[in-house]
Amino acid sequence: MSAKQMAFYFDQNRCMGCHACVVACKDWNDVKPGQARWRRLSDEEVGTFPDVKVFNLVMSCNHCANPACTAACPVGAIYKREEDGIVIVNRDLCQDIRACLVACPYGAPQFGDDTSEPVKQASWAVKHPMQKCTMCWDRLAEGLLPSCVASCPQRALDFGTAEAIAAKYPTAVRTVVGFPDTDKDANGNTLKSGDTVPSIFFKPKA
Amino acid sequence: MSIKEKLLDKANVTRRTFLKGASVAGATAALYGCGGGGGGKTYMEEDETVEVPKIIDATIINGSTPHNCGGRCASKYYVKDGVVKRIVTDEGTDKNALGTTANDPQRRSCVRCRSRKQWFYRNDRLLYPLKQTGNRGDVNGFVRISWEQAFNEIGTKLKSVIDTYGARSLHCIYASADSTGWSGAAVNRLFNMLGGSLPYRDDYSWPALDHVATFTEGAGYIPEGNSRGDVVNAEHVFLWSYNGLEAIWGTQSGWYLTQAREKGIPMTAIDTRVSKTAATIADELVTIAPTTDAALILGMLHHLLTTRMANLDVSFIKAHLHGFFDDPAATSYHSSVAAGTYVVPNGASLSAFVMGNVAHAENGAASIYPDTIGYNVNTSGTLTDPLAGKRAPIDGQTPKTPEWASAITGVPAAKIREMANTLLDKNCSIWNGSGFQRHSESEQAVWLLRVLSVVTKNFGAAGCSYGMQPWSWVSGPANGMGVSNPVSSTLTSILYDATEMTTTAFYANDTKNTIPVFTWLDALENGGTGQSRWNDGQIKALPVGIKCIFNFAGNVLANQSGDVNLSKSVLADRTKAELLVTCEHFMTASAMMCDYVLPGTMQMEKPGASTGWFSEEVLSVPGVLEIPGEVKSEYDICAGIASVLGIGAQYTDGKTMEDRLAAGWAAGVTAGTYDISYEEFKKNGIWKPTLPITIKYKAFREDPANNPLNTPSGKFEAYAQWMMEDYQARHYNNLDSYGTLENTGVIMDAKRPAGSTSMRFVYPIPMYIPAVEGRHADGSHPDLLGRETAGYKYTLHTWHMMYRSHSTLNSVAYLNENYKKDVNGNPAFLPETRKPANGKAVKTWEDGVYEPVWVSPVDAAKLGLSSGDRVLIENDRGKIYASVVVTQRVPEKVLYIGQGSWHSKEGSIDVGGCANSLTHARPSRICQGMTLANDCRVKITKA
Ligand code: SF4
Ligand code: SF4
Ligand code: SF4
Repeated sequence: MSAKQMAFYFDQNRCMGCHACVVACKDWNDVKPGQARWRRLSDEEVGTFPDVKVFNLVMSCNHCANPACTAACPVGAIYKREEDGIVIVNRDLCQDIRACLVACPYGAPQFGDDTSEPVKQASWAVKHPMQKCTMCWDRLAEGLLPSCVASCPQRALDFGTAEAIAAKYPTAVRTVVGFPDTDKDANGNTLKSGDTVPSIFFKPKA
Repeated sequence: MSIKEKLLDKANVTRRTFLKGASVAGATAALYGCGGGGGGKTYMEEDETVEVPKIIDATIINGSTPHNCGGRCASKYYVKDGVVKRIVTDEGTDKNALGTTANDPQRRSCVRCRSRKQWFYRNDRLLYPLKQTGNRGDVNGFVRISWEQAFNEIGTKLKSVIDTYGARSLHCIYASADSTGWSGAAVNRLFNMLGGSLPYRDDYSWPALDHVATFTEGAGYIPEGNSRGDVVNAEHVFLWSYNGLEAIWGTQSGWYLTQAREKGIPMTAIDTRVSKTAATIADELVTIAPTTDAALILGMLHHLLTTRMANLDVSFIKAHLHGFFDDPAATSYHSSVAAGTYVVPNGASLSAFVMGNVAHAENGAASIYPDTIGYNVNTSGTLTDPLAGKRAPIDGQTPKTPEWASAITGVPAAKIREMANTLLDKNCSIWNGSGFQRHSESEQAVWLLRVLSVVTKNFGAAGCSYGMQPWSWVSGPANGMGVSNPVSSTLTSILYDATEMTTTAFYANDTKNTIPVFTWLDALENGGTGQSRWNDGQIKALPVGIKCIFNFAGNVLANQSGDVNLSKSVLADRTKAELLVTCEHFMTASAMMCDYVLPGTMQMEKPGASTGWFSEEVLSVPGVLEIPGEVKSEYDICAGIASVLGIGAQYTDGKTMEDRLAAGWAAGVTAGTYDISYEEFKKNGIWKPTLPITIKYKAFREDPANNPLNTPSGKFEAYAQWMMEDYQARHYNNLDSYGTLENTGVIMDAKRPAGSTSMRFVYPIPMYIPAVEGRHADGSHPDLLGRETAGYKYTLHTWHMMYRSHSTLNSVAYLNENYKKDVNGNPAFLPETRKPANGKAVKTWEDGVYEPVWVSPVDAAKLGLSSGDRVLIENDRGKIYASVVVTQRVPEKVLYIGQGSWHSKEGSIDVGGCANSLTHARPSRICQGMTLANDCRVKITKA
């Protein structure tokens, strides 16, 4: 465990599924249009018309307390910061092995393509090294909230240390409709590295 | 074994061999002792970590990119060398105290303004003036010209049109993409200095809301309700056809409703599908067959008039609502309206109509209304209307019971009663949207909702409201561009027969010297010939048709109006319009049809200011961005044309746009409106006054006689004789020779003070009239045009989606990738690198990037469709491609597509997926408004 763990909070009741957070993330982090998206929106419809409930879920990297990605990466390109628990990929080290993509239960590791990343940076070993949410660490360093959190017109997202979030939302839970199993990889196999313990809290849709 | 396989083959690959492999693959950093693989260390050694990047060194500018969504929210731009690097929104304090004057939330923007980097910086942006050298609409016919040539040619042609046909033949067409207001102001100033132009009234969005509110509540614009914040005082909220969270009806409105809901206020949505709004904040969704809202309200009124009669406050209703009950001796609160001239004959009131052939104790007779209504359309000649001689049911003699309403609407009768009871028993606020008025009988439900709000006393008190917040709180600085239109006053005697009116004293509207905004195409096609495609009295009276259109910052010509293919065929005819000029950012479908396409500045490339809907703030739009290519502001463009015509100096008055705004702001400071200087305003990017919580119509509710409304009766009008008279004054022959009223009833008007027994096409009360291409829940829709047998078994229903505002932003890749699809159903967009060949124009759209269409799982199964399939949606007006989204959020038989995608034809098919390639151009019955965007039958096949 890191000394401190930053975490997200998501109120599934408030989210209308508008993609403002998705685009705010792309804009801030200069992720060009294309398949890579650090924050993603999914929805699940339960019931049949007209008695249907829509469960929206936006997810980025959950900066897990026990990250499956770092455990899976054979070149050690992904690491977890001691001071705040943020999981960071060193893109220079990435070899495009994509073991993280298989290991991560949440689809957080992202890979660009030639449209979104036309120019390979000199320091990169591969054309499209893994990229993902940084919790907007550059904004955090300046005392700003993550771009996604500050963008939500519905105030569905919040952010803080895991302790602060748990204290602020005492009834928060650790999973919600649409959220994957925290101990299974992308193929549904149980992770050898153990439960990821994602740094996200929820208010489930009533 | 590939390197990847080797690397993954952890059992056999040692760390050492990996390191070799890594350097072979070109890894530059030193690697040692890292975590991963064996699940060992999690933290990397110091020199393997990445530095937190510094936020780029840029100037932060507060501003906005206001266009015609209701938000007009705040943005902050990280600008470096005149280029936007990053966009964030209001990051000030989020002070939420809804319902109090302390409420001051962040004006957080939606996805549309977050996506603007992909709008500002696209290589397919228009960068220099283009001239069409071929036939209109030919993408290959455009050639690059200089501004000098553009000004000279446009100026010369403009002068020749004015000399030949008069200023009446000019039209500054409805355009809404530039909410700084410069585009419209620039053209109108030019035209008005040259003698004026043919003016329009109302707008494309809310024509029925505008028209009906004008006549039935004396409002200047739309139905007016309490401040948004007052919603916290309601005991129940009805969201009627309201998708304000997605469309953004006023910045933060969704957030306000969310807070109200979290306080425990129940919310009922009445909609045809599960919209984003309904899915997010409605506790209950009442689904209704499209275009049948009026029947639902009539069923509620019947329940109130029968089962709940003992609980109705009859004297209150009579004091506040004219003509809900028969009132042959009605007197007005206004002494100027002579006794006996504005009365409600026995059996003619709305409640009599609701009761049908059943007597009601408050009324003098049972309903005088017939069972059918006709269409006031051309019955002979080349423009003969297929509706000629057809009659729709209005069930004048039938009691409009909840069961009657249920059969039409599909809403269970018990639910209709329950909603009526809630409205009567609780303090309710009704927030309306406008989809329920997008059909051929648009006026009726809008009107009935106001009636319902008065009968149930849901207006004029805390928590009791129907309509939208008044707009007059704050306004942006005047730009001093106004010059009155000299043509207007010359039109009154031509377009209006005031002798039809009992009184003209209460106008808050301008029907007398304008054409309905939607009828420009008719004025272009038929103006000056004495004919009208739609038998519109005012179009027939026009002495000359439209000969020149300036389309600045709009896409109405060939995208946002009904029946695009019809529009294009009329626009293509150079004997009709002799000069078509568009000023745009991109090659839209409308630009494509023009003779000259001029590149205009975007918001933030020119100075401006804007207010959002329900204006709680004024936003600054500083012109700080570098202007690309040869792009010019609309102001400079019109000044350039004015110079050619010798009025350049008068046009600008020697002032820049910035000068004008600064002067307007200073005047506002002097007048006590603004309490900060222009410089402070620009620095803050926003001006936010403290706003009171308005309870609209409070004085009228409490003392109507001394605070009458601006209507002839002085009350809300369930019986609006003057709205019917206004229709007649617009040169419509309203007497339907088909037959007479029932029960020897009469209807009076100024010309027939003793009353006439004739049936009419427009009555003084609201009714339920089936939409021309509508459908009923029980299959009883009359289908007068035989759409069902022609194979058009599906209703096409449009909505205002999250990822555009009307047609603005349709090509923004950050938005497109979230909803548009390729032929295989994968996310698709036009890359920002797409660009025209040198000196040429780009096509409006490319095949392969499709608009989504929502289909119910039941229909999808029947049609053999899955999500991601490409489909052809078609009718006798056009064909479009779209990409299927199978969803439980929509009912069977109705297909949902966002309005505003860009029409672009490959062969006979619009690959851009513009809904208006399929919709009708028929104006609605009374106000002649809008496209029939929810009144459209189609067929759908896999393609
Ligand atoms: S911005 Fe907010 S409401 Fe919109 S998708 Fe993201 S979390 Fe949901
Ligand atoms: S969410 Fe996925 S990528 Fe992020 S830390 Fe957890 S396992 Fe790694
Ligand atoms: S925290 Fe920043 S990087 Fe992560 S999803 Fe949100 S906006 Fe994107």
